Amino acid sequence: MNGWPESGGCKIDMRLQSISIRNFRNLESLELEFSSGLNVIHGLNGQGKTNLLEAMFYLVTGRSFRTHQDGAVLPLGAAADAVAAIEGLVIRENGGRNRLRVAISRQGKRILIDEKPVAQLAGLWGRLRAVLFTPDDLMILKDGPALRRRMIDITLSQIDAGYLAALQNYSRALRQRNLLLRDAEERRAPRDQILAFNAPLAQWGAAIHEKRRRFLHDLGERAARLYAGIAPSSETLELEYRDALHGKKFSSPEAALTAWRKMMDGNIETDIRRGQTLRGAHREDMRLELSGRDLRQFGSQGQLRTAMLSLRLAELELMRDWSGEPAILMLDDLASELDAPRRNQLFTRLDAGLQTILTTIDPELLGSRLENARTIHLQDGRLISTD
Amino acid sequence: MEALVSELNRLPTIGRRSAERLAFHLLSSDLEDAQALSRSILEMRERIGFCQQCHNIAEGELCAICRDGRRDPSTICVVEDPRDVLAFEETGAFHGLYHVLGGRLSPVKGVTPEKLHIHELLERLKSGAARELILATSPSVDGDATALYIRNLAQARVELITRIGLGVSVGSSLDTTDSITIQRSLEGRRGMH
Repeated sequence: MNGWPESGGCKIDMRLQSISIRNFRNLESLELEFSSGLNVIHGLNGQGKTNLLEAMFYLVTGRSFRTHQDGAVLPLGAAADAVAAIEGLVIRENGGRNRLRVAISRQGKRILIDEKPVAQLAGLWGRLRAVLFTPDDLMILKDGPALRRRMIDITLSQIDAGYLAALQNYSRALRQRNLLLRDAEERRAPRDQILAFNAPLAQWGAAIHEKRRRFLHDLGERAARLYAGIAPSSETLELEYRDALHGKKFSSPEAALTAWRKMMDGNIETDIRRGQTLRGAHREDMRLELSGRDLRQFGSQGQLRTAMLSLRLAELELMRDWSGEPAILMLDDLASELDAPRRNQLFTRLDAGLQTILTTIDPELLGSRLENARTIHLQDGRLISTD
Repeated sequence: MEALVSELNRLPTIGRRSAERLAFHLLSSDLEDAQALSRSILEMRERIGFCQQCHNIAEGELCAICRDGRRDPSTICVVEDPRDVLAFEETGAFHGLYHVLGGRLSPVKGVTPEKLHIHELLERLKSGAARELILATSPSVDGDATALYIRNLAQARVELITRIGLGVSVGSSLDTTDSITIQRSLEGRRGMH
């Protein structure tokens, strides 16, 4: 099995053409052009390779994948009015061109698309689609549910604007409801107000649920097929959506909405006692099993790595098929992420049309693939050479 | 000059730069224009307050709409803001009365039911004049919650409570409408006459 499975007849119709970075961590001033195939960013540790991917991913999500505080990306000792800026040019084969710009200062963040300010982060999502693969990804499988929800949210939000809107509305309703719960003394809790916020919470929760269900079903099937291809054995990978309603099926969206309302309304007294909303989309999870055994508990290091690789490749496929154009693969630290056999598995699956931007200490790991790649050598945050 | 700039700067959406531009514009405009502007600001403040019945803007105790005997008192449209009243009035399609809440519920921003004119609405319904309450708060999380909060309190006092139709905007096409909006318009569908 070489390249993507048959479907779609996908062309190279979206890519990141170039990027320009100012005052972003140790990247003082950097201008880079990318090829539409493999791009290899190399350099020793601490030279700015991951910073570069972090800056690039800002163009995808408007956020850092390493910190919650935008201010942390400003260079150490930067002036009070310093601005970190990332600008990327995204080109689509149908002639579409978008200049995406994210500017971060201590006062806040500004996003511009083609020089026009975008009021909300949501306006940026979907302009540049990418799957990010980093050495920390194994934590997604080992750690608690929050990282797994984050993985789902980042991928699904890039291909479904309605999902992002539902997430934002849900978290707004949740914040309002939790504030009412937190301040509530049991006897004098504002039950009438809590009840009022149950409606939007249930409405958006049910919307998220339906989208996650479809997404995870598709992702699970793709990941299982990829896992079987990478690790030919009798083991089968299974992905299970652990949803707030414990897998209950509904005949219609109305029935699902009613069930969500019932859950929220029914939990009021417990939630008041505990001072927070205990069930809902913000507590959901996905569980991976290998031939029926919980991967998180029983998986070996190798099985975890193969599962994670399968999931990321499945995301790439799914994003391509759902959105009609390929996503970019951004891979941080090739050597620590993947050992030699898995690297080869990855590369044999990367279609020639897939733009890949990866970082590595050792470009020789790429072997003969290096010949057709664009290489970018970073040292101390500066570009030493490109080829 | 500096005094005017900083006063203008205190207005919503007016930044320092815009304030300066406005001040220089007023400096170079006719004296009569400047006088007319300052007069209308003062008159507005002296003469306009809030309607004691519906909390819309009003000259005197009641607003022009509440004073108008031709309006139908059996329907009350509940909105967040006096600007929403203007939007409805511009259509000319609504002939009932309004009730302006003065915002929408938001625990995070400290907007509790007591800060809105909800109690006054419930008092107003006691007279029994209103048969239908149209809840026209915004289709946002907080607007939806406010509508539901009012419905729960008011349903014993009025025959019919409706929510404004939410969904596909007129003149747009379905294929460019986001799925959430389409879903809402499906929920709010109705029989054709």
